[in-house]
Amino acid sequence: MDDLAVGVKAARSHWATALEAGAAIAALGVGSFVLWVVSVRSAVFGDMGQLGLVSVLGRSFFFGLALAVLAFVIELLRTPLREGRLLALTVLLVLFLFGTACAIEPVAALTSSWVHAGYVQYVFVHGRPLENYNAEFSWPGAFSLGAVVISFMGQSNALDLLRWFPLVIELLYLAPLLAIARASGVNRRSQWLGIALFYATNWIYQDYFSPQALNFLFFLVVIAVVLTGWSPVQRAVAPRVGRLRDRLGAWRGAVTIRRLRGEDAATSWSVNQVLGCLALLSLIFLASAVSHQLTPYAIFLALIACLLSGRLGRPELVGFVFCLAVGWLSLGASNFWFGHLNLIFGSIGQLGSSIGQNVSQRVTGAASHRLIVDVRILLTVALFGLAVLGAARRGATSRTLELLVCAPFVLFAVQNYGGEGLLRVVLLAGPFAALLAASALFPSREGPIPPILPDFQIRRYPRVILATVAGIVLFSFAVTTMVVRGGNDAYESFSSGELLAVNYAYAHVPAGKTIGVVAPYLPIGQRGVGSVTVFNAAGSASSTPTFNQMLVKMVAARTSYVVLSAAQYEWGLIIAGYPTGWLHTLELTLHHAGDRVVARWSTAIVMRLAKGT
Amino acid sequence: MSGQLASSFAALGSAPAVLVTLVAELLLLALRAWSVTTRLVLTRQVHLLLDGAVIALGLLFVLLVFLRFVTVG
Repeated sequence: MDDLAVGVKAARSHWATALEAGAAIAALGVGSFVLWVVSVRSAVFGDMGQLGLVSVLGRSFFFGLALAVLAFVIELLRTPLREGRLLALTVLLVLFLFGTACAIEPVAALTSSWVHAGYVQYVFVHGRPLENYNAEFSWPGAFSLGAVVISFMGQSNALDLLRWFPLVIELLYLAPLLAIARASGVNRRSQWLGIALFYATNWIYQDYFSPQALNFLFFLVVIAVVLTGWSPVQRAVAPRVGRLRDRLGAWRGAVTIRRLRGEDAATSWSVNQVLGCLALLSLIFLASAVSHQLTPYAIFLALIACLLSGRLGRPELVGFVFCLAVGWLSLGASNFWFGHLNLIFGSIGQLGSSIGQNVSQRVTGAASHRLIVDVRILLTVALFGLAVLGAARRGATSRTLELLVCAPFVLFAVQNYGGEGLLRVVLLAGPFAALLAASALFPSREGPIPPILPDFQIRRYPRVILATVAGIVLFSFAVTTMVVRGGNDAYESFSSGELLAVNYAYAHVPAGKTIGVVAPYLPIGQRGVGSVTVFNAAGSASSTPTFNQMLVKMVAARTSYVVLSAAQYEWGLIIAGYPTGWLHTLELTLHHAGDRVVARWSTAIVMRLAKGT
Repeated sequence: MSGQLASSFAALGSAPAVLVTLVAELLLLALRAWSVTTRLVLTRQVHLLLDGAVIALGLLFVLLVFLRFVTVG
């Protein structure tokens, strides 16, 4: 009887402790969410400084973020893992990182998202893309999908989708990320920490309303299906790969006919499930091939990585995505490359030039901007450095994650993608690098491929030390990403007044005429695709004109309307190095040249070229 | 039709030639994936024939796309 009483007491004590810990984590999560709401409601968009979004976030935001990270790390180290709570805390982290800008900024950020809304609008109205307009319209799949979606919604344009799109698409990424993590071979704690690290280091602003955001979802879904569907065939006698010589021999073994035929991968799915997935993947390949220039080739390389590491049982998929991508480029996107093939093949092998365009040319502008760019580079290096450590510390059944990290870099050697290639490559390698980075803290030591580095035991308080290190790493990455992700928001986010100014100009400019802007930092492009031209005096990003050159260009352009705004002013100060008050000087210059102010808001003015001038 | 498609480099690089090869390659890939997945019993010769056709048509497709870039682009 006494034993029973002791047992009941112990069980009660265990449950009480678990409940207390669960309640504490729930309280931390709820407190964190409340602080997010408070910080978002108290942020004043108009007070934004040169450091962008972070300059309007108060202490409550960072305190709330710290609570979210603390709750996540405590939950991560509990036994057993409670997946539902970890999922809820991951969603909370995503809200902090990607929902804050959406909630604070009055209209959608980034001119490109407005331009893409304009393309969707064009397809919605005309039922087809505009021929010979620009490169993006040669891959119109995402715009066609957008037109279908707004038609289903009973809307006449996609503008309502823009503002919260980054948060929604990042949450959509979560499902394939979970599947990838579960099938990746890293242990459960590394899976959750890896997903959190991916979000906490995703400063690359490619989740706005765009084909690439949609295609990154396609990419993740394809990899998730492949990794979930196929696993390496377990050999009866595992090869010895302890010594360096054995390891090199094992790598040579990756390129065998047997492996290239997909016979080193096995599936537990039924025939119908496999056929269904093949059909689904083929549809995704087709959708990707007609909607984005780069992603189909990233999928192609990632599938090769899976094939070489024994994680793909159907090599036909590699051929399928390659043929569809090249076929569309050759036939469907011929308007893009007629007469300028160098856009496609010009940067092959020119690695030095590509690195120059992708890295050094971006480290320009005011000190605040250079700081943001420098920190972005450091953050990326830190993630990939941790990934290298994780790859060396973990034991595994295959090196698929390592190959998936390396695969996108082949793209960079072939195509610099207008100076954005490295950004895209880092984004595409990010989820896998984050899982490896998490393995640096929680390595799995099992599998036929042994770890390169020996294990080291933390003798005292291992759980506390691991929790502290994981918390510091995650919080540091998350704060850094918050700073650098919104680091350009001083000129890439817009006020309601700027949108009203653009709408005014569109409402009054006759078809066939031009709206002039100093730099493309306005919510512009959502109307008049093909009928109203936007003149941009700044030209391409690589050749910013001096202030005097810009004045001459603006006067000489003689555009029907000119829209000047606070975002353009900030761009002039931060990136172009124009003098303080330059916008007023430009306004006076245009006034002398015959332009008259016809509408004015606190953050924007619209000028019209007077008749007879 | 096939004579016209193969009459010159320019004709080989034309859209119909690329399209026909693309469709044929996709069909062969689909056939191979279906036959292997459903464990269709095929002789070794048929397997080799199928693999050879996939590779040959794939190479032809790449060649025609290259010709199209050279002649049209």
